[in-house]
Amino acid sequence: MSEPHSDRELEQYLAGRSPASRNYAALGAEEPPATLDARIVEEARAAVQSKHPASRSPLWWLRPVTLAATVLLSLTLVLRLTEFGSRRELARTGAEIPAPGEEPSVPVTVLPPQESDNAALKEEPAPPARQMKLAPPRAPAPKSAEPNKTVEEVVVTSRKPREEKLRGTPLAITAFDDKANEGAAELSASPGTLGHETMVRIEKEIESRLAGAKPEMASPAETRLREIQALQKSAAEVEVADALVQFAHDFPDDPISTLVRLPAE
Amino acid sequence: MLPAMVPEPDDISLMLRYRAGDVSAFETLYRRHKGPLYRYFLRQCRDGQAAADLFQDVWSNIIRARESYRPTARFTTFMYQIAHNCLVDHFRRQGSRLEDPAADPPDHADETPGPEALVMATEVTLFFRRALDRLPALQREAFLLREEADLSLADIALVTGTSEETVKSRLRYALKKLRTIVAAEDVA
Repeated sequence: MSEPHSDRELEQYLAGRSPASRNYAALGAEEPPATLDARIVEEARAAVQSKHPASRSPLWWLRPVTLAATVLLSLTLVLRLTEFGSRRELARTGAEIPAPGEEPSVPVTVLPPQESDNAALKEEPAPPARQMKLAPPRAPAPKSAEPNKTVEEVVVTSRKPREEKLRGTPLAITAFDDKANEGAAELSASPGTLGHETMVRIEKEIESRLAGAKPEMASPAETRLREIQALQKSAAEVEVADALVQFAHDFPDDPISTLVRLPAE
Repeated sequence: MLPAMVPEPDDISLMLRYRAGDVSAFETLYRRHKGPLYRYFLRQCRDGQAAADLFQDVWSNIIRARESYRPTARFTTFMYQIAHNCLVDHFRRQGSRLEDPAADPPDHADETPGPEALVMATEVTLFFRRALDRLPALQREAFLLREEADLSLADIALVTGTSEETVKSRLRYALKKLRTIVAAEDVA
């Protein structure tokens, strides 16, 4: 245990107010001999001159290269994990996962959900610039409202976020007017649905009927049949069937109409 | 117009410059510390040749250690740690230890100072020198590290490998002995 006097003396000493420090300073300030100074400085210079050029390790490049490699690997890992997470999310939501770098597929015609039973997906030639015909959503219109007679076409520029990529799923939607939709629904629901064989037979009948007829002398029925023939070459069977049903309504006595079994009214 | 005051570079930056190959930085560092370090050895050994050898050993060690030098502490702490180790080795070579009473100096009371010393030194400084010589080596070392290197208690503890309380204790005893011896000499 220290005495209080010793503590005070130590405090004064540490504060630089001790006679011991003054007496020590009075002892003088001896210095090393000049020859020793020169020897030590020379040693320091020689050490630098002899070792400094070789001081760089032969593996000096290892550190920056290691750092760069670590950064690169980390970045790659992060990107991989991000991609993996996105693919898992897509898989969880049920969407097909696009192969890396794969572009969305060719647009096709898709009927609205109401006709999905009867609507086969049909491929169409790809329009330029990845455009899609999109049917306007059928709003639940009041029953008294007039059916929409016009075909609305909405051109949508394809823009697919990563999460919406659907590989191999054609993405083009053609709009149908309400009448066509209803007709298709009737055909699918009625016993008078035209089968493929019937359609082929009607097609031959129309062909033979119009073979000898001159367009300028054509009757209204023949004019309609020419339109139907044109439809047969370019449009879907559903549309042809619809046109034939309409033809049978308008020209019930025509031989072609007998081939078309009208739905029960 | 007064010339602009350029701040002196600190020890660590000088050492780092020397590590990078700047010999002039070493010269500045050396000029700054050579006196205190030399006196630290001279007053511990009281032998000019031994002090010079130890002094050179310390600087050689610093030169060799420049590549691995890391500025984690004050340069003076780094340098006096080397000096302390050199001193311990010196006493060991002499067959004694710094802690041993054998490392303490012989009584110089009967030594007659040279004519130059008599002219330069007053009676008090002569008494004080004798008193300093009579201090145990560890107490003297703590005192010298404070006086010459201006180290804090914590730095002295770091250099000598002890606790701060031990350093305080050594300094208390050193101050008391110095005061007592000088007073006794003065009365005599």
